[in-house]
Amino acid sequence: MTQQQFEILLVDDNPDDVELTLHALRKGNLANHIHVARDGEEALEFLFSRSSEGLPKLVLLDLKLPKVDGMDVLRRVKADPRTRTIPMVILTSSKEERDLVQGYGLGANSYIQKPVDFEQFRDTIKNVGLYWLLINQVPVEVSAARAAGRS
Amino acid sequence: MFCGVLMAGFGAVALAAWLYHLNGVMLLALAGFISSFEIGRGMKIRSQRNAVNALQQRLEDRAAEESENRERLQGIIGSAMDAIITVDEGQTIVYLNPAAERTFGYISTEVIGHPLNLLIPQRLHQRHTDHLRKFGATNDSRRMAGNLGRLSGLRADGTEFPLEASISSTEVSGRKLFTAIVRDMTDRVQVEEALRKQSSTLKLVLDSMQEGLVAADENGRFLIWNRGATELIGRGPEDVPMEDWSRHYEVYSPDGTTLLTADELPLLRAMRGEIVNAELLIRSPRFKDGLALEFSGWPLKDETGGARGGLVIFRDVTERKAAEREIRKLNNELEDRVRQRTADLQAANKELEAFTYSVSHDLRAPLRHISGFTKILVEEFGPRIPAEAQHYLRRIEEGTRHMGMLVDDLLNLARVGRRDLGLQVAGLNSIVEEVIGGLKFDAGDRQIEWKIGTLPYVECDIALMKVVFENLLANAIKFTCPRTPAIIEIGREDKDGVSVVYVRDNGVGFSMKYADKLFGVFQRLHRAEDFEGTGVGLATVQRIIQKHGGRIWAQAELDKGATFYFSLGKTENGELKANAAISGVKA
Repeated sequence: MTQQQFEILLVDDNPDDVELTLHALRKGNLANHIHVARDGEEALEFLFSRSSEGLPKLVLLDLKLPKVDGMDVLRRVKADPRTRTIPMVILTSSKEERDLVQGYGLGANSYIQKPVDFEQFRDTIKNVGLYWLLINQVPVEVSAARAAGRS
Repeated sequence: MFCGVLMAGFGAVALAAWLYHLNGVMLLALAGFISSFEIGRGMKIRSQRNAVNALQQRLEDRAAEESENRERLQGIIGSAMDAIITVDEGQTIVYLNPAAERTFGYISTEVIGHPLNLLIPQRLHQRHTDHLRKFGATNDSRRMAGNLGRLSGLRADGTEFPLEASISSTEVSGRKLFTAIVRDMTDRVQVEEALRKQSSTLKLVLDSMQEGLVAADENGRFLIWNRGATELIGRGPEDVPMEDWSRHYEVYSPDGTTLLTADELPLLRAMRGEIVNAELLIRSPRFKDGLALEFSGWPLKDETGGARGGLVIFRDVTERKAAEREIRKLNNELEDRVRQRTADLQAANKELEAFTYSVSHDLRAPLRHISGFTKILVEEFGPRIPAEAQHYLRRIEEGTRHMGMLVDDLLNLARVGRRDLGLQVAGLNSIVEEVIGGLKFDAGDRQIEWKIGTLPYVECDIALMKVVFENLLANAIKFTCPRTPAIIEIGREDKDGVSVVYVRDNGVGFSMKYADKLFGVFQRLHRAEDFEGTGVGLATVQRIIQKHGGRIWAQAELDKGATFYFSLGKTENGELKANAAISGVKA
């Protein structure tokens, strides 16, 4: 019973945002293995129920979420050795300084404000996906585990 | 000695000598006995002659004695310090002693035989005559003339002088004489006058004081108790033992409930040698609620440093205390109010923060969605959408973009309001250059002539100053759009003694009629199809300038360009500081 392999976990409660993000990822040919969590609790359940091989390569995290908010998700993920290495990218409408400060303080790997302009938004999503999934290097151990999980 | 001679004359027996040693009285008695024994044996004739001689002798002795007496009396009278004048019943002067001559400035011969009135001022003649007559009528041999009050004498040179006199009457050979002993009181009167003056000055000073002043000797007898003391304490100096002062004068501790013990009384402490500063409450029939009095006290010391009692000065501090209470109350109220306001403000700030947060997060999201889905619609289904529908889709997109700008600008404005100024000295020239660098992209290939003067160094929040120039210069670029070349000038000048910075352009300007709308939020002086904008930029600029304690205003004319002036209230010192720093570096 092998787990389905997901490249990206998208955590967002807004269906419109989810749809636009998925559309953008599709356009960038990055939509093959995406799991969507609709709130923080669901995101944590997903992450902590999986074996280390089944962890996603990237988490796109909105901040304002029902039940457990984005900052708490970030805190829990970065506090646990099993999940700490997962790149966490905050993708949010807010560019409040305090959110930036807190996000980076908790170990976020990137902070991106969703541009209002859709073309910009699409480019941004594409770039983020490309960077973290293809360009960014992860330790051998992690990538080996992932490779093992996939096989 | 006398006895010794007798003994030698009559051949003293050894017994006598022995008796002399034993008892002088006995010896005398023995000698007398022997002497009368010899007279008894004498001759009668010789004895008669002797008696005449003796009488003669006695008369001579007596005359000599009298002359001696008279001389002695003369000497006494002559050397007396007081003037002595004798008049007869008709008040004619019969004698004047040397002191009287000196006192009145006459020699005896000038006045003897003249009436006494010669020596008395005219205005007192009648009174004096009456007095002397009355005195003569009584059998009182001695009476102080001074009892009638102070008299005056008249000197030869016409000056008057105060005198005191005693007068006595004597009868000499049936002739009644009056002798006055007169003392010139000029010096004493002067001394007394000076003393009286001094003491009345002292009293004037003491009684004019608003403060109470009480002094007591070491036995607790009050030496001074001025009018102020009576008024403040409500009682005068009364004969009360020291240990009862506190109860009698109702002296309480400042709380107004505890009666002071004798040991605690400022005056008694001062009398014990302490320097006292104390606040007390004194109740009295006049001040039932009590007067708050502030006491200062010192010991009284004589020239050798010996304790001579104590002195206290006190003043009414009731009003001051009441004012202090009032101030304390007001302060407390003010503090409460400040606390309340601070809490209100903090709550309002929190609300504003929550509001701007949700604006930034919640309002932008649907905009993004509208924009996104419209775009997808155009891209995915474009060829199949009629041209008219495509036009509306573009309008929708344009609307969302504009609203996105509005939201961003409003958030900026809110952030400026909330932000604390991070002041530092900065050169405005470098800020302006940086901003122009960023705006050149917006200007595209337009021909713009920049004229940048020497701008001051000011104390400012650099990030906010950038926002100011970004808005002003972007506006200048925008509103000079129809001009070739566009001329944008940034400089500094003095307006009414205040250093101001200006941004001038040769753009379309505006009518001063609408100048009051220039800095209002969402206020625009141009149609959107002519010049795009949100109407928030200048409101933000004004907010920033005001936060710096400065002022911004504009001068413009339709079609003839506009000039925006601003001052920074805090720049005066900032500029000086900056200049000083620069010259310091140069030196």
